[in-house]
Amino acid sequence: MTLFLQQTINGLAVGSSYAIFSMGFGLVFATMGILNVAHGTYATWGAILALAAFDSLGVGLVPSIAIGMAGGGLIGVLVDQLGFEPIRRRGGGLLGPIITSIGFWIILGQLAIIATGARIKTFPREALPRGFVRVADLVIPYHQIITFVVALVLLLILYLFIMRTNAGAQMRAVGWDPDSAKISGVNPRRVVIVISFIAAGTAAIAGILSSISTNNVSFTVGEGLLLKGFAAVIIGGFGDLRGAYIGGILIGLAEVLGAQYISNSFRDFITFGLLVIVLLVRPKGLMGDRIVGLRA
Amino acid sequence: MTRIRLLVLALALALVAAACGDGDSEETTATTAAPATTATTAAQTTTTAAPTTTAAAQTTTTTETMEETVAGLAPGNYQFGFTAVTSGAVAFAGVPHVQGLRLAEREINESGFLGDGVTIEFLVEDAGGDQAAAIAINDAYIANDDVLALVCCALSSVAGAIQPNIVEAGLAWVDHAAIAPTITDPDNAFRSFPLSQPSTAAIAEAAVAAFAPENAAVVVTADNDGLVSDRDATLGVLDSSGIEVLGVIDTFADDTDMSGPATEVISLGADVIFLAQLGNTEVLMVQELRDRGYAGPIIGNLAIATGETWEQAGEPLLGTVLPIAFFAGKDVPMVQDFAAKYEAEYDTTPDIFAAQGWQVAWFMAQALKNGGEGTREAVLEGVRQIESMETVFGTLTWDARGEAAIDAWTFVQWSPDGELVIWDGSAEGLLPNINQ
Repeated sequence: MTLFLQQTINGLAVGSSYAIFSMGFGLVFATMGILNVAHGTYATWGAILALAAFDSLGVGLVPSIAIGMAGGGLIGVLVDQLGFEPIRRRGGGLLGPIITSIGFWIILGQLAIIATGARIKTFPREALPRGFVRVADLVIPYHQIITFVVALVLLLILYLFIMRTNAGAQMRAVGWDPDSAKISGVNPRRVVIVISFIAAGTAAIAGILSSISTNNVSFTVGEGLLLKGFAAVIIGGFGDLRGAYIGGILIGLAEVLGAQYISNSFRDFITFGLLVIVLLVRPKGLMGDRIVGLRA
Repeated sequence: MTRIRLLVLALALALVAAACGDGDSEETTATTAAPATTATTAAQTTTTAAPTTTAAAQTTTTTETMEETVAGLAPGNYQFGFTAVTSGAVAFAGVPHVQGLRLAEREINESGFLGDGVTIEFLVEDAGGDQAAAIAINDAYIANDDVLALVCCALSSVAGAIQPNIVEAGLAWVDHAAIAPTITDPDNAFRSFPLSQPSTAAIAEAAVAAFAPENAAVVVTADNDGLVSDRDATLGVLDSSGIEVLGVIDTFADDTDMSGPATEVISLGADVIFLAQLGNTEVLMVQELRDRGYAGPIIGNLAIATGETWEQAGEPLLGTVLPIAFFAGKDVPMVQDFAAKYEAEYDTTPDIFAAQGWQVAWFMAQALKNGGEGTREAVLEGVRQIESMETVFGTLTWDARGEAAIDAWTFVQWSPDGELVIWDGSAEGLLPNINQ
């Protein structure tokens, strides 16, 4: 039982980082209809910028994380305005943005290689939360608790922002129909910029937390998150932040518990098998077709 | 609006330009260096010097070697194709590989090891650990008549992928880092560093003798042929020693979270844990095991031997031992000389990967010197003639299969001040870990 509970905690922690990443990923997909494969690089750059801020500016870990998050968000805005906005203006379909995002994925990935010298960088160990909480026989590292709490808090903040504020209403309107939103007085471009910043910023948080958990800042940080984040959005339903969160948590649990009780060799098979099953049974995801979110 | 468009265009061009100029000075250097001369033809007219069967690549004896040996090489620049992995998950090894290689290349050329006016040049291309990219790179090298021999790989999977085309082409191929035992071939595939499986078996035997465990657990990177071979070597020792294996846990090269596997390993309650993992995954595993309270000995591999390992993981590395063919603290003149030059050049201590890069360059130079001609056939013959060589790993000897071995391995462990120090093979000699 202890082993099961310990692995469940591990699964929740891993799933929380997927959830954070997938919330932003799903936000862009739901509101702009863009399957942005460059999203993983925002996570990478968030981690790189946070470490750079820590090293160069001499600020503490929390301000560094804030800088990394803001930097990742700004990169997201830059990519959107340089790559996606021209396509949107010309009424491009689904394929154009995907090709564009692949281009930015490669460019930002290469720049990350240059920035890190293709090596693993690390935060000073003493700056990281490396302690534990012990509950009976269970060992819960601080970084797992932080990741879990951050995911929940982000979900709450983003959900309330989108569902209860005027800016959130504008985002939902643009996600529903940009032209109608424009007629109603909403500035779609401004809304898209806000969405891009939030989405890339959350990806950056996921990248930073992942880097802190493993003390590993490298150009590959976002790659592991991208596929899992995509699967989480599909499983949970891309029209609802809660769906993305639940999808991330489910993937984390399936991955860790599947590795423990079936085989680690089947880990990805289990994860993406789950994706296929959900697509067959509920094509719009677990929550995408019944809860009012960003899209119907 | 026009201004905005121009601004956007300028930003996009800046991004693209930054991406294109990816700072890979190794590639730039390689492609803009003086082209190969007509050394092949000229060399064919010279008398082939009697090749030495025991190579002397020791930098400290370069002058004597020059005086003693007259290579039959015509003045010119002789090229080798090097497949690097300076990007991707194994860049931690690939970057020092190339740095060591370039250092040796300069030493060889500046010392006149190959004779007056004779230089070598390694064309370096990054495959990023991708098999298809590596095949394409090596096919291009094979098609380039100026390339006399090939050097590759850092990953066993990549080595396996390029093997058929190179065997077919028939030129010499020297593996500088991939550890799968199936790579070498007596016809044309050789290795310039000692195979790791004997070291894995050696440290497993030492661990069994030192800690007298009743049982053990093994963790492996299951998608890497070389590490699977290392796992098998460990299991062979455990089996022959009557040690119960409580579990073999598979992990994968691109894993980024070891909390689950580490929990599983700890739940087994093993007396000793053996790790045969790739790069960062092993670092993460050691961290997780120690952070979660495992207090027993951990037997690792050279994946946790880089300086960055300590920066990343720190104290949780204490109590982990590993076998290694090279470490900069070794009190051997050749090692100290190399370490000093490397530190002067790159401002960092050379690790095993830097040593592999440095050593393979000297190996190829010796092969060229032995062959005495700037032809693929001569270099291949020159490689075959190398039976033993003094290297930074110790005295390497090659068997009929082209497989390299050293007679003794060094076992090391991390000390609290972040230095690799000798483990004497005893339980008492193992430094306390953070859970003791």
